[in-house]
Parts: sequence; C-alpha cells; structure tokens
Amino acid sequence: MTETRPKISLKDVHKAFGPKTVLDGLDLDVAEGRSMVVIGGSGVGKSVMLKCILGLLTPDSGSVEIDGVSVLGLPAGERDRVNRKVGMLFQSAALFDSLPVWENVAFRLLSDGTGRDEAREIAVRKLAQVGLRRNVGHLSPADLSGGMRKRVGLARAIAGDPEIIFFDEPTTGLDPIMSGVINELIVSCVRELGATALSITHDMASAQKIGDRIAMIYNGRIIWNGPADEVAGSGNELVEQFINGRTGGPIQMALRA
Amino acid sequence: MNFLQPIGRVFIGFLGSIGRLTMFTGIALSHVVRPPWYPRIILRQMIEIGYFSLPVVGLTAVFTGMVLALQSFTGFARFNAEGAVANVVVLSITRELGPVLAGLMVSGRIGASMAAEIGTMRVTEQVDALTTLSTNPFKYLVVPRFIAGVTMLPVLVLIADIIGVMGGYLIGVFELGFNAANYLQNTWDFLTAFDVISGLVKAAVFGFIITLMGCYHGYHSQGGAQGVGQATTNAVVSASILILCFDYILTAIFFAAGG
Ligand SMILES: Nc1ncnc2c1ncn2[C@@H]1O[C@H](COP(=O)(O)OP(=O)(O)O)[C@@H](O)[C@H]1O
Ligand SMILES: [Mg+2]
Repeated sequence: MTETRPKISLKDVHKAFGPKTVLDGLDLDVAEGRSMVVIGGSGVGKSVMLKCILGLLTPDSGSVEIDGVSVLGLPAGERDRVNRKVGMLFQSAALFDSLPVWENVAFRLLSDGTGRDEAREIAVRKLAQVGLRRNVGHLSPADLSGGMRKRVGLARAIAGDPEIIFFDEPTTGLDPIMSGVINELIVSCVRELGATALSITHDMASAQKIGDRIAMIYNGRIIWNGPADEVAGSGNELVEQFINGRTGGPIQMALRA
Repeated sequence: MNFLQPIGRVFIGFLGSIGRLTMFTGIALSHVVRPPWYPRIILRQMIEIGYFSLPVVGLTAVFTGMVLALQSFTGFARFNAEGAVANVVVLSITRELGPVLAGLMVSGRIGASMAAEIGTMRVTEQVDALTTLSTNPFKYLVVPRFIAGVTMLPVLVLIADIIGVMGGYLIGVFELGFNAANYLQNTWDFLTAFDVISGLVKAAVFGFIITLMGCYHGYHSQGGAQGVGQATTNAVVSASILILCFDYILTAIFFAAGG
C-alpha cells in the first residue's frame, strides 16, 4: 500500500507565551495505525505540541488536522466529537483524586450515562489489561505508587477504545523495570486497539521500544524524522548529541530556559 | 514621564484581572443554566459547605450572641434602657453579624479548600484531563460549587441566627438576670421578616462571592505547589474583602428601600 492519508497532521505550527517562542514552525505527520515518538530535551515544547493537538492550547498560527479535518477553533460540540476518538496519558497521570480508581478508568463511560455496574465491569477489564487486579479499583489514586498511577492512567486512556492515543512522557520518573513494563503495555494496548499513537519522551530506550518512527524537536521545529531503527545512524549532529547524552555539542542547555 | 510607567502597568494589570474575572463569571453562569448537571457532585459540595461548616459557624454565632448581650447591656445601662438588649442582639445578628461572620468563616474554610483543590487539579493536569474526557471543567468543577454555595450559605446563616440569639438569651437570663419569658418576648416583638430575609439575601450573595473566588483563583493557579498556596491566600483575602464591600452595598440598598 502506498502512503495513507496522515491521521494527525501539523503544519507550520507556531506558539509563543508572551515573548517566549516555544513552537516555531513545527511540521509533523503521523500515519494511520503507526506509532510516532517525538524526542527532545526538557522544556523544548513537547507537551505544548500535544496540548495544541488536544485543543487545550490554541496555536498562534499554523494548522492542526485530525483525519484530514482542521480541529482548530471548533465549537465545543464538534471538539467533543474529536475528543471521543482520542485517549491521553498525562505526564503525571492526572488521575482524579476525588474518585476511586475504577471511576477514574470509567470516567467517560459514566459521564455518557452508562450504568454504574456495567461501567465498573468494563473498568475492571481495562485494569486487567494493564495488569492490575480488581481490588485496585476501589483504592484512591493517592494510595498508588507512581507505576500503578501510570497504569491506571493508561487504562483510562484506552477505556473509550480511542483511534488515537497520546502519551506524555510515559516512563519519566519510573525505575527501569517499571519503565519496561509500561513500554510493553503501551505497545500491546496500541496494537490491540489498532490505534495511531503519538508519544513524547526524552527517554531513548522508551522511544526505541514504542516508536515505529522517531522525530526530534529542537528550537520549536522538527529537525529530524525517520524510522526508529535509523535514529542511531541519523548523521544529524543534534540527534547524535541527544541520544548519546553528550554535554558538548550544538545543543547548549545552559543557554536555553 | 517614566514614573508613570509602573502606575500604568499596575492599572492595566488591574483592568486585565477585572476582565478575566468577568469572563470567568460569565462563562460559569452560562453553564449553570445548561445541562448536563452533576447532582452527585452538587450534593457532595452542599454537604461539605452546609454540614461541615456547622460547628465553626455555630461556635462563632454563639459567642457573638453572648458578647453582644454583655456589650449592649453595658451601653444601655448607662441610660437605663437595659430592656433593649434582646432587641439589639436579634437585630445585629440577623441583619449583620450572622451573615458577615458566617461568610468570613466559610470563606476561610471553603474558599481556601476550593482554591487548593481546583488549583491542585490545575497544576497536576487534572483540569486538562477533564477536557480530554469530554467533560467541561466549568460544568464539573465550578457550577456545582456555585450552586452549593448560593443555596447553603442562607441555610447556615439561618441556623447561625438561631444559635446567636440563643447565646444572647443564655447571657441575658443567666448572667444579666433578665426574665426568660420577657427576653424571648422582646426578641420576637421587634423582629420583622425583613430583618431575617435581608440577612439571608446577604448570605446568598456571600456564598456566591466565596465560591467564585475559590474557583477563580484555583482555576487560574500556575507554578506548582507555591502557585496553589498563592491561589488559596488570594481566594480567602479577596473573598473576605468583597464580602465586607458587598455587605455595605447591600445594606445601603436595603436602607434606601426603607428597611
Ligand atoms: N501555559 C503556559 N504558559 C506559559 N508558558 C508555558 C505554558 N505551558 C508551557 N509553557 C512553557 O513552554 C515551554 C515548553 O514547555 P513543555 O512543552 O511543557 O516542555 P516539555 O518539552 O518538557 O514537555 C516551557 O518553557 C514552559 O515554561
Ligand atoms: Mg512535558
């Protein structure tokens, strides 16, 4: 099959906060059913890029399309229809502290009017899918470890059977083994749903594991974009410095911020 | 001309905040009248505001009533008008001190916790998560708190009125030697429905102010734990000042209306 229409397409996206330019002409396409990972240093605007796609932030200029339709400036009802195709795992999991775990997972179902018993059963199934037992459903998110919170966040993201899933630094703050577990869960969940995935991370091991393609963001643009297995031999100085974690090179951390 | 710059900047910043607050209020109110509503959350907030504030509001009221009885006795004894004590106690409590003190106490308790809770949800991306789960944060977070605040504050104040009058009664009868039946008679005879109702109207307005300030400052907090702390402080301070301002404005309106 030839290249399909991109599921997600960003063109020339600009976003600044006051005098500070964060995205400066960012272009990125994610093909349907593929897993794209965007890498880049802390504070380069990876989360801002995701929030622009999710409609949580509005770009200053440029276009954001999902399924070939622009999603900028949509009225609330239309935006909801787009959001229904989307699942999101936030960097800090962003579980609702006031609700038990199972209500977090079944949040969308409950607000759509699914009965509580049915919603609980679905939540239990989704929790099982991320390797959590039924009784975890009755705990408060405050009682969970970081790795469990991420799993619950993942269960919530996949609970609506989304076509697109976003992962914001899914392994940050986890130990290497738990990172490995989360990476595997992400891969299996995305495959099971047949979903399109867009992840952002600065963890190279994670990027290699969950990405079909890897793109690197620097100075507000995508400066390299290619298959995941070619990133090591990219020949791009910036990419090489980043994946090898060298302090010397074209990326000057201290000069940023 | 440079010294005008900071003044102008502060002034423009002030106008900006007024604008943001007005927008926030407008959006929130527009969601009050549009479904879906969240009855479970409204109920939970009503219990939080109405029921769990009872001890602090009750204690405030009983001591206020007691102090009022003692102080007004001291004053009125100087011109032999001790009989007015019951009267002064009930009017001061229902028209003024019940709503204002309950408002201030609740703003410390509820305004602060709302700002902290919503602020924490903001900085931990829970507010963003609501949006991505097709739930409007205004409907889910702000509207239930508005409704609970505006309905529960009058209930609290009504209870505070009764407890406050009882506090005055206790001191009047057991400390100042009033005849119990006479004291109650004096309390009733001079009380009009308007005294109570004007106090309850104030209470509803204060309930709105407290929840508005709690939600607004929480919703706009940024910058982690420190930002949430700042939001909490701002919510309580601004609600307290607004309560005192609006207390005067409402009193002036009632006064002009002949009450
Ligand atoms: N709502 C906001 N207001 C102001 N500045 C912001 C906001 N969100 C992000 N930024 C700034 O944008 C930059 C990029 O942030 P972010 O996308 O979170 O970085 P990361 O790549 O680590 O995810 C940061 O310098 C941050 O301070
Ligand atoms: Mg980030």
